[in-house]
Amino acid sequence: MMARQCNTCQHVKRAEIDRRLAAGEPGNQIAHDYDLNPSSLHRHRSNCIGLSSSNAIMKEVSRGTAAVACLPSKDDLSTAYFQLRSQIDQIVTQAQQQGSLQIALSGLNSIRQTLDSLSRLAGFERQGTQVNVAVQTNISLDLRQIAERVILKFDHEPELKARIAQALLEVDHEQAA
Amino acid sequence: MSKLRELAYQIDPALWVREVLGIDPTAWQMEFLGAPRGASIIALTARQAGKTTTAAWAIAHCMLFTPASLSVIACPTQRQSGEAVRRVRDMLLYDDLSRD
Repeated sequence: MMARQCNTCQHVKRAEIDRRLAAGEPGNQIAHDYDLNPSSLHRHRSNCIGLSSSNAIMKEVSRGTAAVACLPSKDDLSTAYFQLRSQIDQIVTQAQQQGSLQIALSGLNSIRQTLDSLSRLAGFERQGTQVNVAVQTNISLDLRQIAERVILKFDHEPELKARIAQALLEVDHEQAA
Repeated sequence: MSKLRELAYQIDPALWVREVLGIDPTAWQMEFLGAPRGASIIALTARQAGKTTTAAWAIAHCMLFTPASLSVIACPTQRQSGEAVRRVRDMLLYDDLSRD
């Protein structure tokens, strides 16, 4: 016997429904909006896309937001780096006097790596130099119209159209290289 | 996507299918995609040969490169037309991703 097909999977707006389910919207609301049976939607959520309940999804989102909020700010990290630098200076002086320079530096290196990891987590290291690019857009050439002309002119010659298109693609490759 | 590339895709639907969707159309599918505007096409093929898929390519291409065009999918059952609409949507999503 053939298994019964899922009504939600067959729905025209399936992608939209799945997006809303994944965002953690309540199933009853979604079922109402798309004229679906709530039980059928629940089966779709757990059997077809394997999602947890909307409450569980919202809790996951909250945990993620809280984790991000707990990361140190850019200012905190800057302060920590400056403190570390002055500590390095002090320890190096002391270690030089006591002859244990290597051990002291290895300890400090571990602290620096921890700060680097925190910085990466907070996404600060990705903020590079700002680059301004000016793009000139005053070219009055409508490429869509050109394509339309070519299509109309060679509508009954698909091979010729294919060759023209291929030639354009080659020009594009050359320009990109 | 560069303007030249877009122009090439607009002129040749089979090229768009190959480059963007990453599928090599068969000979009969190339003929289908290269048909002139307004042509009536009968695809006499085996089942599961790719009739719906080929029609979906043509529809998605028309939707992308012919602004304000109207595409109608008419099938004997809603399940079949729903399937075709989903394929078209998947292809449009694929194209959208390739433009990022």
